[in-house]
Amino acid sequence: MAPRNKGTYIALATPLVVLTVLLVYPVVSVIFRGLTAGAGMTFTDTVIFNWPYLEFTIFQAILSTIMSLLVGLPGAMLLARLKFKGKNIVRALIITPFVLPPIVVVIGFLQMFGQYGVIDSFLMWALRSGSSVLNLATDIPGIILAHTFYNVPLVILLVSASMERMNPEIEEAAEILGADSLQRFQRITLPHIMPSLIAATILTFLFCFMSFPIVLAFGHGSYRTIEVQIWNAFRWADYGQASSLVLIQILFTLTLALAYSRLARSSDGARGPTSSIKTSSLSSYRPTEVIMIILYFAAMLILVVGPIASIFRAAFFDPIAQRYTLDGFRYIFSGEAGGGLRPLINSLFYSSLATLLSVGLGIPLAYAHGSKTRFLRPLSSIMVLLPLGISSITVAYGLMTAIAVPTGLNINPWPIIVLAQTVIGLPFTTRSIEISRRSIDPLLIEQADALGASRLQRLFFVELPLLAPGILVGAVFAFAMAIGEMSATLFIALPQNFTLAVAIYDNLGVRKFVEAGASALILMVACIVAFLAMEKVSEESVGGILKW
Amino acid sequence: MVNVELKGLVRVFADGTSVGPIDLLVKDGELITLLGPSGAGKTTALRMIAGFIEADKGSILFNSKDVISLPARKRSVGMVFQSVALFPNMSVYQNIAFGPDMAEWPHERTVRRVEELAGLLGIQHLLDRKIDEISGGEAQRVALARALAKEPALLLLDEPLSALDPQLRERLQTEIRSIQKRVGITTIYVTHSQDEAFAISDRVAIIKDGRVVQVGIPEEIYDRPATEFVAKFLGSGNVLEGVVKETKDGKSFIDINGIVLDGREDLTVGETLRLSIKPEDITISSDMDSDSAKGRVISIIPQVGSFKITLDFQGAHVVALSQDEALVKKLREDENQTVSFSFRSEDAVILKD
Repeated sequence: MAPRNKGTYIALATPLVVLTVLLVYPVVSVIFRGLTAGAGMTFTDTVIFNWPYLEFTIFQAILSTIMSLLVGLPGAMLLARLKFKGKNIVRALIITPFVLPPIVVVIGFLQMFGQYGVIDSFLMWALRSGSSVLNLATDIPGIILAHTFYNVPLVILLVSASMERMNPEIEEAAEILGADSLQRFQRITLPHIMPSLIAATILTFLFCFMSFPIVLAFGHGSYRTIEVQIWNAFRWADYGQASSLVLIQILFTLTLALAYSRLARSSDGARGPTSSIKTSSLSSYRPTEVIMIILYFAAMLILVVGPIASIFRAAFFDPIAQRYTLDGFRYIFSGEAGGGLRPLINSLFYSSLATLLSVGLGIPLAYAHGSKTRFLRPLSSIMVLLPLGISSITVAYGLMTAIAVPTGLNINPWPIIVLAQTVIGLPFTTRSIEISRRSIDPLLIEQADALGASRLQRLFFVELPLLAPGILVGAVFAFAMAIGEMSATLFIALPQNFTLAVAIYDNLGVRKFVEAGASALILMVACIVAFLAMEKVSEESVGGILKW
Repeated sequence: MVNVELKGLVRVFADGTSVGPIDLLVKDGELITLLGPSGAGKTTALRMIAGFIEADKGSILFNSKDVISLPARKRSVGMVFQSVALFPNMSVYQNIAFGPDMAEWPHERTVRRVEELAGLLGIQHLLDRKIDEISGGEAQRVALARALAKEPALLLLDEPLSALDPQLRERLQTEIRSIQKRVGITTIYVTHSQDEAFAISDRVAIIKDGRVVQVGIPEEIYDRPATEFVAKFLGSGNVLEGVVKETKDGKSFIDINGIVLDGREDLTVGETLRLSIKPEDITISSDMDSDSAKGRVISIIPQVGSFKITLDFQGAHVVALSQDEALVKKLREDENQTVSFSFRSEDAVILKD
């Protein structure tokens, strides 16, 4: 759609202006001010002091990425190739971690793999040991395992989608020309899925590089990433160090985000008849292969389903007193100081506002993204991409320093929390609205024109109703992202602004495990319900949000 | 090269549909086409021969040796796919050389073979191109070269030209035919287009509901369709019902709503028969005095070289081709005219079912 008058231009430019004010200006200004004001470390000192943390950030990101690829690749191949009953359920289960807030994942991991967790309890029973035997939910194993849990779905989704788009006749052609299954994988399948594999690698690395809640919870302060260090430096009022770290991190992440967007644009070209994807049932595999497949699914069950199911246990089981209790839920509905009702109300209030804002900005942004106007399209692409490459902590740091302090909002910074949640969720909201916009048949719009509808009539009676599923999906996405957001919120919030996600972290710190568990259960249920709603709406309209 | 024999080939799918039993003999160096409407089982049959679909029953004999237990890559078969299916990550050269590479041919032999085929197909100038840099027709030639590179015993083509425009399709039909003759490779070709089948084949096998209903050279099938299905599918079109009226001196007389045909043997009086008469065998005349049958003109459609005239003959449609322009002009002036038509008894073919 080419904008035709001033009004359209203004509508399309609004989100760009808003994002400039809420994202570009704050980040640029904190970097600039932090580096020049002379408060705290210089850039060089920062690099020297943080060298071990930078190394650890990269190390854990690489290790997590390798693990995610190793676990995810077989899953992607099985999901694309294996024909079995309940495939949709398995697909949904595998995707679930992706929509869970990181702090909820932390709770699930503690309960599944941690001290006195499900596995530990089983081992203690099996070995008749009185003390804890195995604790995987801590330090490096905890961080890597949780990152793997988080990013395996990404690898599986991206790679299996690419495999399913592969023309099955291409593989048959290779087969009839004499290639065995290994040669077919090396020479045909691997080159085909390579773009999606690289995309998954970049995204996984990016997420792990910027990971905050998981590193904070499992690192216990001894293992820190750049993201954790930015938060620390800000708390120590060392703005020089914080800003230097933001600059270093942004150089890494924006490069990767840019590489990713390039790749996404030029991904696999040759498409065949997707209806005839070559799948085969389990019975067509050799016995050893069947055993491997079953073992893989069992491992996935422990890694993926285990932590999710354990959150139920975490909500009721008090590991300190070793008993089941409803104290967690009593906490949530307690309106007293230190009770969970306030965070719950805050969570719902902030994320609802963030949802409204995201949709309000996302609709014009999606149109600007599809516009053919010079400047508008590339600018909006950059704006959509930026939040992917700028970490939550950086967003929060920028908003606090450049917006909250000058305006006095730092006394009660709840609007800043809403703004941060909006900015962080916006790319996802925009994306789902854009998918829906692109699927609208332009002939329908022309038809409305031909029937004499005015521009406004056309917008309200034709375009928006057609766009409604996409907007709904975008809204649910924004809500799920906002309600689970912990990093920026923790950075900004004063105790009266705590959300449920922040309260979970806070409760964990003081070993109030059931309170954290019950809160996590509520967040998880909210996110899963949101996810199911999203899948339902988008399947009916554009064939699944997760197919991008 | 190879003789291919399919014996009682059957495949039943999970959804209950089935193909077969198929019996077919393809002679060494012959090009045979499996022709039938979509869903008839042509492609399934071809994929069973290739080894992509397992047969439940029956055997596939290459020179009397059963290959049914061999995987696709060991059957010495070359195949051109409906979607062309060139490897997008390789150049034209690499695509053609893929088979020889897999068979671990010495490098010089591979190069010589690729160049030989490229010369044969006129694609020498494309060898360094990427797959997305060649046109649809060029892609078909590359696919054919790739299928032939490893010197397979049998070549399979699965509707290779269906995605091309009609002119290019016709040109490539001729090319495929001449290359097949030059290489002398036994070939099975699948198509749903009668024109294509007739243009390219030594023999045609008509497939319906997973079975071969008639095999023969194109003219034979066209002139003497075995069943009503074949007659209608090939577009010869006119199928009329008749009854055996009497037998005299070993000859039977068939009555088709007043048209009496003679000259058939071994028929029982009272038997109902279906007969096929090709449009070009029917003569139309405006002379109403003759005792030939009468029909009302429903439509006149000009075609290349003739007019297609459809008549209503006592509720049945009869299609005739006429080159008589004066007659057509007259008929067109006044609609709903009645004309007389006739055909020779020996041009009516008795259909089997």
